[in-house]
Amino acid sequence: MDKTKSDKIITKYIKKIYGFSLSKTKNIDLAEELASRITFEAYKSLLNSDEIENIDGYIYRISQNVYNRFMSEEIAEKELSEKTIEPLVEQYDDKEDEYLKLRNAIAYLSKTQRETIVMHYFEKMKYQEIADILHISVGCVKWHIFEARNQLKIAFSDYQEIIHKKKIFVNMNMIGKHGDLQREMSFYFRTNFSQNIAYSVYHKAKTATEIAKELKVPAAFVEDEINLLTNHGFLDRTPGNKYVTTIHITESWKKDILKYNEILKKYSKYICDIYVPLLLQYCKDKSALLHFYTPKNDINFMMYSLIAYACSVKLKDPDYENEISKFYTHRKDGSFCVTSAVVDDNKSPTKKINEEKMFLSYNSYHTDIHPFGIWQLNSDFDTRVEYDFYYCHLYFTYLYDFFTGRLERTSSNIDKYKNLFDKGLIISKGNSEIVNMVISKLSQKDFITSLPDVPKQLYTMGKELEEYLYKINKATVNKNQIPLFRVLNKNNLTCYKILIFVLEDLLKREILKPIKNNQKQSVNTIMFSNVLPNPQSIPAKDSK
Amino acid sequence: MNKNENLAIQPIKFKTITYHGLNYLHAIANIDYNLSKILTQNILYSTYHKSRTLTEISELIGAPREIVEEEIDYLLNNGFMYKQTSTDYSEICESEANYLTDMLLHDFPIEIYEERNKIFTKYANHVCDLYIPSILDLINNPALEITCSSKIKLPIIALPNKETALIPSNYTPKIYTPENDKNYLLWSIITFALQISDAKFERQKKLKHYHNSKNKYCKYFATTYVQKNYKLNYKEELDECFIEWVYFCFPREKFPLELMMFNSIFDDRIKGWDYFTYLEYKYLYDFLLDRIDLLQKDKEKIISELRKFGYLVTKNNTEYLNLVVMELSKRELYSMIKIPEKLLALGKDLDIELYDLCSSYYPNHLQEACSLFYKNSINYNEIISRVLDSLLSDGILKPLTDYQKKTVNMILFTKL
Repeated sequence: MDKTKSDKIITKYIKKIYGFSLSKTKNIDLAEELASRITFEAYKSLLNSDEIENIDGYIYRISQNVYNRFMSEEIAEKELSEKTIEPLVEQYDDKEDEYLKLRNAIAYLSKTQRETIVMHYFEKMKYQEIADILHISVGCVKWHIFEARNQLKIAFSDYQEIIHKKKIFVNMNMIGKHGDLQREMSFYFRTNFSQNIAYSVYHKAKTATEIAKELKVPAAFVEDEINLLTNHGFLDRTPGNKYVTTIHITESWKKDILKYNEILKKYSKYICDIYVPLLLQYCKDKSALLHFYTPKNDINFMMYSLIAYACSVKLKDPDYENEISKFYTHRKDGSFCVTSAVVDDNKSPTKKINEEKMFLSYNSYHTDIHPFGIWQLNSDFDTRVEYDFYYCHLYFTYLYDFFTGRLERTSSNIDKYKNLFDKGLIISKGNSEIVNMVISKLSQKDFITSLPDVPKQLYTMGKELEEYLYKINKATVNKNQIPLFRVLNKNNLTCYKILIFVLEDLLKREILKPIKNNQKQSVNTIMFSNVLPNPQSIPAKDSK
Repeated sequence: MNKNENLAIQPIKFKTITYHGLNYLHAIANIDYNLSKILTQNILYSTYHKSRTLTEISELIGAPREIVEEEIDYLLNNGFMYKQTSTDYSEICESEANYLTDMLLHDFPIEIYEERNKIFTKYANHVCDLYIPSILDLINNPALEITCSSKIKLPIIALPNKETALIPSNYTPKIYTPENDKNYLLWSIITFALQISDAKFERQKKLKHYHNSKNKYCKYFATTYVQKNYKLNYKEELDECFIEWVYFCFPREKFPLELMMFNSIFDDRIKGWDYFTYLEYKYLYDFLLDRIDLLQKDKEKIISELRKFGYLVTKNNTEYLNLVVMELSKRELYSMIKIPEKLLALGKDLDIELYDLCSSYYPNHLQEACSLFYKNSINYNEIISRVLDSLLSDGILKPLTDYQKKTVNMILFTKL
């Protein structure tokens, strides 16, 4: 029966149910509790039933059954409260282990159950006082306490299971976004705790209590984290007070990482064989290179950035942006994006960084004051340690000011110069400094246009790889997210690992040479700027 | 029941945390988001009065060690906790490290809160008697050029790569208040006057000694109230207020803007780091410099955000800036309305009264911080909110309109 109809029936019978309860219990408090239980059972039953001919008889039967259970439980309740909970609460100093058992069991109750138990047994509050604080009826308070006691009974018997079985936490890596995210994902998913909450409700929606038991973290802390994640759109609330994650999570190739890497390396070799030679030709074209600055005219250093960037943009599926944007959702902080993560395989050959920090892409907000954009690929080729987006943009504004002559050598700018040196963005040359990064005078759009087109053969291979990985991974994906997974599974040729394998392969083939230590902070970074630095070192200008 | 022993089932919760010091906005937003989680708060609370090991904390909180350890690492790195060092060699070898909380938690019994309220109210009345009249005189001084316009032009701001406008020597700095509303201006000026003093700067410098965060973008000492589960006999919201000073994220010599904000029960602006993305300040800056048209692609979005935060209001088909703006530096304004010496002297009595009342409720390891904290209490936010409340009740301050509540008690200074 649909909800609307069920609601109407319950509304119609609620007075009769209360009248029945009062006539049986002869006590207002008990009648309220009984009535609330009958209402609950009747409503549940109506929702699961088809059309009912005799509603009167139906509701009466339910009422009678609930009343019978209620009476036998009332007696058992008294036994439980007297023999189990109250003495433990009173004597907790003497019975520490049992108290701990009780405390832990209470910790996994739902919020209202926990609050009512604590207020009634620990703070000695009366039902009416609790009802006033929680803004519910006294009957509901009793109902919650009753339910809580039932849960505690079960919890005591499952105690060993809950407490002593060690929880294995997954670690989510590659947490990233597609679209416009106001804050990095690491802002919200800094901890294993928040990651595991999201992971625990990926395949199946769960209540906060279920999640708490799974993670062995008291429900109060889980509820708090769930609230935050739900408010920011990373979890959705579903009927039955359950939660499901909105992040697309991929299980990594935990068992078969070697096979996965083998496949990617195979395709990275195709890229090296088919596309990289075209890029090398491009690098030999002096007219093209006029638009670039590379420190000390080091073409090898420039090629790292150029090849990685070219592969990351030119090998993209042309339909990808359009298709992925259909899955974007608006978030509280103004973001409009899709978010994804990969469960860590713990054997990742690369250093642990989040996907969003693998590719840093930034356009200066004030393009009239600081007209530049940044692209950066973070990997084991560099020694960068700070990936925070907001701090990085500051350093690049200092760099821009430096090579446009606006960063005077005054005492107020000492920190800025220090930052530029620390980040490897400038290095000393004699008595002065030079920019230690690749700068392009072409805009990103013009640069992409100027790059050689990708042979169709490689696109076809990309589709092959896409189909193959889709079939392999489909089984681990939440059924509701299959369409999104389909789209996210595109662009495998531009995935982080393949780009790294391309660079590694080119090193092996000695097409690329190893870079120097002082290049490792700024390798695989391009600034798209309106001006280029002077290739000669910028002389120190001390202000007077 | 010992609150500390039941954190797993009855966790405590902090109120708004105040970070005393100078901090990069984005970094503080990040830190505050993490500190808003009750798991983190309860770990801090568990090591507040007594140092504990990781195992003890984990047992107390009821959470697995891995979860607790992650949080402890974060708190250590951001200066909210420190590891106790042991001088006993055998202890170093055998036992786990002990952790202690390094922030001030105001956690008092009900009678102490009530007493604090009486003290704050008493001194707020002194402020109203001794200080407010001179501020009222300032507002009514005809020499002070108070203006309003639908679009404000600020000659003192220098655009990069352009020459600073030549300011005539007889130029009188203007104070802009929307719709020429002196009442609205008075709210903001009183708030400013009450939260600034030379003595306060001295206190900040001394508290800086406690700025032990390893996060290089923040230097703060944090304090907060622990939420009570009992009702007090006064307006608790008067304690829930805090000052923010926003320095725009540009080279200050070229973009001399400072924004003061006093957040309290008197405003209903969007608060909390959940909403903070710092962009609204950039949009405000661009609007003031008449640069919105340069950002054509984002123009609509920027205007919409400015309206959402209440900086822009449309009334009778006219759009105007809904914020007090002063062509002054904060020091210049302060020099016009210095706190009277008599009040400063009374302030010292306030320091003693509060310290004597509250100091025993702070742990031993934070007694020094406590003694530094209870200085210049006359500048406390709790005093400011009670002064405003009193002036509102007495009719000296008039109630605000809905759109004024979004930006009341804010002043934008366009000069350093």
